[in-house]
Amino acid sequence: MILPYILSLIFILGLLLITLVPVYATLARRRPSTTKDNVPAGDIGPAATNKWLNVIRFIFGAICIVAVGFHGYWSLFAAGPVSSNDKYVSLMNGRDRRNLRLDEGGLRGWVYDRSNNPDSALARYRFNGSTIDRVYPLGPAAAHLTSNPTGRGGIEQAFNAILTQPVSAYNELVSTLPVGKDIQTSIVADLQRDVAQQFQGKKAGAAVVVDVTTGEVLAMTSWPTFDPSVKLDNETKDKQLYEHDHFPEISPTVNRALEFYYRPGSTFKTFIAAVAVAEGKTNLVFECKHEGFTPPGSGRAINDYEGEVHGHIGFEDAFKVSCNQYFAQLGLALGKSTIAQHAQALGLSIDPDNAAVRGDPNIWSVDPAIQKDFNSVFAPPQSQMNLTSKVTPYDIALQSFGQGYDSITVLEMAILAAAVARPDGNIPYLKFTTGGETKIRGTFLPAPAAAHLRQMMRLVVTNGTAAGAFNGCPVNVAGKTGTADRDVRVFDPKTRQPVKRQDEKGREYTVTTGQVDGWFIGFAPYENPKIAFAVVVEAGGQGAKSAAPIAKEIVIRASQLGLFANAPATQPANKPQTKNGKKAPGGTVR
Amino acid sequence: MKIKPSIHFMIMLALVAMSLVGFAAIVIAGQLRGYTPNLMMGARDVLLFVPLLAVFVWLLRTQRCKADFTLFTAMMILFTVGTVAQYRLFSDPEYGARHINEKVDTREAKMQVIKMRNIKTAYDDTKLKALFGTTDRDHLPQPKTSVLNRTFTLGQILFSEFTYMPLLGMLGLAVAYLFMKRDDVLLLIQRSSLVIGVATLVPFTFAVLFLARAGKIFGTTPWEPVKILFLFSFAGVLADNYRNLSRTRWGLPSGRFLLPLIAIAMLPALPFFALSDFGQMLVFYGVYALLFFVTVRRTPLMVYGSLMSLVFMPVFYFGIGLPNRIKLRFYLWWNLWQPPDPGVAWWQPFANEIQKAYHGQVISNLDAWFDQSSQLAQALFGISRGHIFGSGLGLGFPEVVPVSDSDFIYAAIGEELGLLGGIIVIGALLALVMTGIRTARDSRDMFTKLLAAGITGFLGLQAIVNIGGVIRLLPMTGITLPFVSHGGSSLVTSFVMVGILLAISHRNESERLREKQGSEPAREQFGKHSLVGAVNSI
Repeated sequence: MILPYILSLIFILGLLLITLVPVYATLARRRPSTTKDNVPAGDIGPAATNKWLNVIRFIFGAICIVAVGFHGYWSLFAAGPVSSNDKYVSLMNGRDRRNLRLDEGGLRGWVYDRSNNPDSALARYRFNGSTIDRVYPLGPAAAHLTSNPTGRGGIEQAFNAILTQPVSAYNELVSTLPVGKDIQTSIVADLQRDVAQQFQGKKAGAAVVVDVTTGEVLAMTSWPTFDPSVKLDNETKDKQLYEHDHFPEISPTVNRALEFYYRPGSTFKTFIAAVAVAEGKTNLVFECKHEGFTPPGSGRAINDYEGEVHGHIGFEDAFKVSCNQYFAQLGLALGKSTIAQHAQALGLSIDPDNAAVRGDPNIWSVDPAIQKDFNSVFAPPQSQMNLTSKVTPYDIALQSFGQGYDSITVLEMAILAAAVARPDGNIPYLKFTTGGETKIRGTFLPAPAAAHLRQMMRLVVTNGTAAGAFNGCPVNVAGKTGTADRDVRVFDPKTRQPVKRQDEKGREYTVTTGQVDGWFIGFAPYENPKIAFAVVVEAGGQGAKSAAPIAKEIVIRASQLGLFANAPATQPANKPQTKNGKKAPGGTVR
Repeated sequence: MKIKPSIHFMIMLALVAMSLVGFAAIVIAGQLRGYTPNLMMGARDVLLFVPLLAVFVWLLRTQRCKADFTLFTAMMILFTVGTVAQYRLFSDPEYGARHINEKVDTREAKMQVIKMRNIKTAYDDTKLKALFGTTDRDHLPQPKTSVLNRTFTLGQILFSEFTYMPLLGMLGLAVAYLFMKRDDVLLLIQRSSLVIGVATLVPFTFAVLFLARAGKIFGTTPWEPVKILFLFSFAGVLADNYRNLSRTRWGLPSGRFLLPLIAIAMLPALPFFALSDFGQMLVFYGVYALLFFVTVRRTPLMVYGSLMSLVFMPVFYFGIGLPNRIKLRFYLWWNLWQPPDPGVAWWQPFANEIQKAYHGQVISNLDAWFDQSSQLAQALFGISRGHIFGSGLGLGFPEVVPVSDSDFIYAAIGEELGLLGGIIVIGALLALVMTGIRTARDSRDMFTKLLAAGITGFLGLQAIVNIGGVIRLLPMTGITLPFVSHGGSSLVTSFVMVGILLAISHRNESERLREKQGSEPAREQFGKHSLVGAVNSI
């Protein structure tokens, strides 16, 4: 690179010097023309034309200067060292065919998992006998993390600046397209692969596992998924992009852990309980009746799952059995402004109209150099409640047990679990790479309150809604189940379009159906929390039966992988069969 | 200031040395990219400077030419830049590939070689082991690069148009000089200017109407030299008539003299219209108008001319009655980044054409537009990447711009040699045109004056139209950059034009010297427009 470049410079400067000689000679030549310029008046002979030739000479000189000016604009001002035109630069980024050359020819850095071992890399090169190709060894299991059908997205886009940053000055000097730097992510490849496998056969779902102490993301799965190494033709690509934007419910490319709003269901009671604990309102007793609880000013009653009746019930028992009516009343007792204050401390928006829809940048701790790219990929839309002045007590009651206006991402639920699991009750900034200090976003709970809540979550697993679901786990788990109702559009499996019907008046409407999502959020080990997680299984029914088994698998796998190395194992470890050598879930997208 | 011929010769030697540096840069850069530029081809290109220098020495020593050699030097600067740029493009196997599949294969092979080189030099043992299962750096498996090795026989190189066309051009320069410095030849040409015009038109029109396919015959444009012949006829008639034309009423010359001139001027219009070569027409009429105004120089005519162009401006702007291709060019010029509405009538045929090329796949209007405008857009992106010093020879990607060897050579220069490369080209051009106009000024008689001005106009206007088309100063036209673009017949024509300019410059200087010595000019009458009288007697 450097040698031909220096030779080119010599060539340019040499030619420039050489060119200056004749240019100077022609411009500096002051010898009068051989034909006399002092033409007698009225003469129209050849000598008289000279005046006009001089004008043309002048015009041509001016045109040359203008041409240099135009060239200078494109080379210096349009996207250059002097200034740059944003619109032109974005066009250049999108349309310049040279980008493809740079992509194809340069070696991007490798993306390692936590172990920094090439054998478990997320993105690396492979030699297939004749060509060197970029591959994603985890395939569909980590598709949303690595790359999307356009060849961008995921880590490839988020860390582009680092992956293409020359690995050494020497390499930059000698190579036309330099080698990029490697990155070590915090993902545990084996865990990632195994968690993804748990969703096989499910309709859809997502799971996030974070390290409680450091805020590092250990696994992030979204289902359905796709194979990132399959090159798609343009038509399929366009179709997928269209689906991504318009029908996210069925799109395999949507990262459900990040860019998809869910109703968190009963898992959200963890938040309301946290508010109550923090405010010291843990001694309230409410009644859970057969006819349900009717919030003041509304005609509709709130009932429990499958019409259960808990009678007079206290705070801890209500959390254990997940009593909707209790939490509806607790929410109203706590009051809108108190909930709002804590919601904002957690990072939720309390006004859907003012939520950071395009990505909440306050979740991650990232290198400022790549912040923009990173946020465009990994910053989720801001989770939200609606606690504006317009909402009725009924709405508040619904939101107090994870229904109604609650629109939360799976990632946000994992953050909630992590904040509760931390002994200090702080909210850590999440990280995608290992190392570096852990930054704290803010305090969510005072330490004793967090301990109280952890205890309640442990009771859910031992005696509550998730009782029995974690039998056989090597460590003690604490958590909260959730079962959330929501209406979803019905899609025709063949055409992959929403089903539409006409009502009696001939107006077209989109058919919807009720769907029950199963949730589980929690942490492990209970005594000394190391990991926190949030799992959702769409249309999975009860959280204890759909999401909790996946959470159990996460804990077992994490234990095998030594993530609880320092945690005391209080239960005799009932070691399940090893899952080593398991392949990534099948290559099908749907 | 006049530069001594010896200085000129040294400059030329320096140019040859610089071109060697440029070739070295290209060869090394090519090897970094995975291909070895053909050295024989490079040697041929360097050796082409030998006959060029020989022509110079021949002019100086044998012919005792007293012309201003700035013409020759400026030409040689352009030729050097051109040769290096051409070698850069055609030594790249991807650019040299004929078919699209071949292009894709070579591109991928190039990229694989770069990757392999990087792996070998920058990857540590852990990664090598993970990739190949070995850490033996010296015996890594090699990617298949056979597609990058294009071999040529000596014969192929010697008989390619890159060899014989420049040689033909240099020969043409010498021959043109030999003939055009002679009084009798000039006299003959002026006398038979009408005959020359008509005699050129007939075979030219025949060739255009019956032989040309897509504006070319056998892949070349053999009518490039007709520019000179038409110029002879126009300059001849104008030199003959300019006194009559200057007698104007209401600012207009008498129709008796104006109409024949217009008839002569219209001669090239028909065939060029048939070729739909509007860039060439633009240059032609630019030069004709220039000559007319220089000789007749009546202020009202200027006013009429300006009014006429004001009338035509909206015609061009709104594209009334223009072919779709021209409308497209104008639209590209003004709104490069903004696709036209899908329903716009002139745009539909192009959009449909692109749609067809994608075999049924639906292309959005925006994508179709960027497909259509890619040549200009990619050229500008390249220039923007070039900044001041360029990306370096062989280190940019001019191969993404279609036909960057001829119409868009300036984009390749802007990308790899940067703004300074552009300044070199424009500077050399400026020197050439300034000296050309100086030659016209020094001419004693109207015919050679018009000839010199016309040739200078052709070279200068053609270059500006070409460069302006690339940098969006002017609409895009399919016209070559003299001495820089790869162009067979246009290169020969440009050489011949410089030969004529040198001859006229030599005549002027000889006359001046004779006058200075006090002796009467050898042909006093000729100096006093005797050519005019000669033509009048036809």
